[in-house]
Amino acid sequence: MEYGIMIYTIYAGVAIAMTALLARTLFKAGGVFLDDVFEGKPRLAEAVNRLLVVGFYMLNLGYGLFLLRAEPQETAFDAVAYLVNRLAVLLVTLGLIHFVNVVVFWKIRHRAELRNAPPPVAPQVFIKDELSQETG
Amino acid sequence: MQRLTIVYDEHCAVCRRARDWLLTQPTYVDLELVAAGSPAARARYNGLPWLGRELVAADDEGNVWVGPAAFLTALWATKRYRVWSFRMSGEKLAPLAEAFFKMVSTRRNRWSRFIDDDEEECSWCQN
Repeated sequence: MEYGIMIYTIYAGVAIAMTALLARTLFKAGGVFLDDVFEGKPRLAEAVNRLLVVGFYMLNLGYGLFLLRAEPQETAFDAVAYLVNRLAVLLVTLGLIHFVNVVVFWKIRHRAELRNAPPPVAPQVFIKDELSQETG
Repeated sequence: MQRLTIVYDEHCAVCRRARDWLLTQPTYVDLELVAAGSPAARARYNGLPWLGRELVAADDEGNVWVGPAAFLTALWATKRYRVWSFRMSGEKLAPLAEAFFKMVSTRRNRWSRFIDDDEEECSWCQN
């Protein structure tokens, strides 16, 4: 009996389910981040979030399907061992990509915080600068 | 803050070099560099005793930073080095940064001898 078809079916099912689950998590949690960054622009935040998630889907599904090149296995043990090995590689890769995504979110937020930050030290003197009030 | 005005010592070559560098930097707020001896500086910041002796930074809301704080505020205005202005004002680095900027300020004339003293102004930067 050959196990090739079985390996493909189970693998594809798990890969799609896992990508979908991760993407959903990323979409929900990332949305909170981006809402904070793009304050007052909820549509822009949602658009950026959607674009990131679409990229995540394409990369993960593509890589996941690319990863599997099963030969027909002789025994059930060989088949399961191969399947588990492929799933392990897939999971580790998905994990790495996910962390890269989190870092991207964090950087976007960090940059926005920096842009709105007041000067690092308090002013020593206060003057009424009339000329700059007029021109500014 | 919409605009930051930096008042520098136009008689020192290091300061003019620093001004030219600062003018090339992308900034978060409008940056204006004014020579300490210029009529504009004297008219606007007449009450400040530090003009020409220490670096002075003033924003359009009337806040004034002097000395090391002015260096940090100038860095803060730049896009590239705003991160560094916060790092250098952190607990550990702040004393070091303050000492460093004080040293730069007090030795600026000594250091200026090492650069070509081209007192004439460049055509593209403001006085």
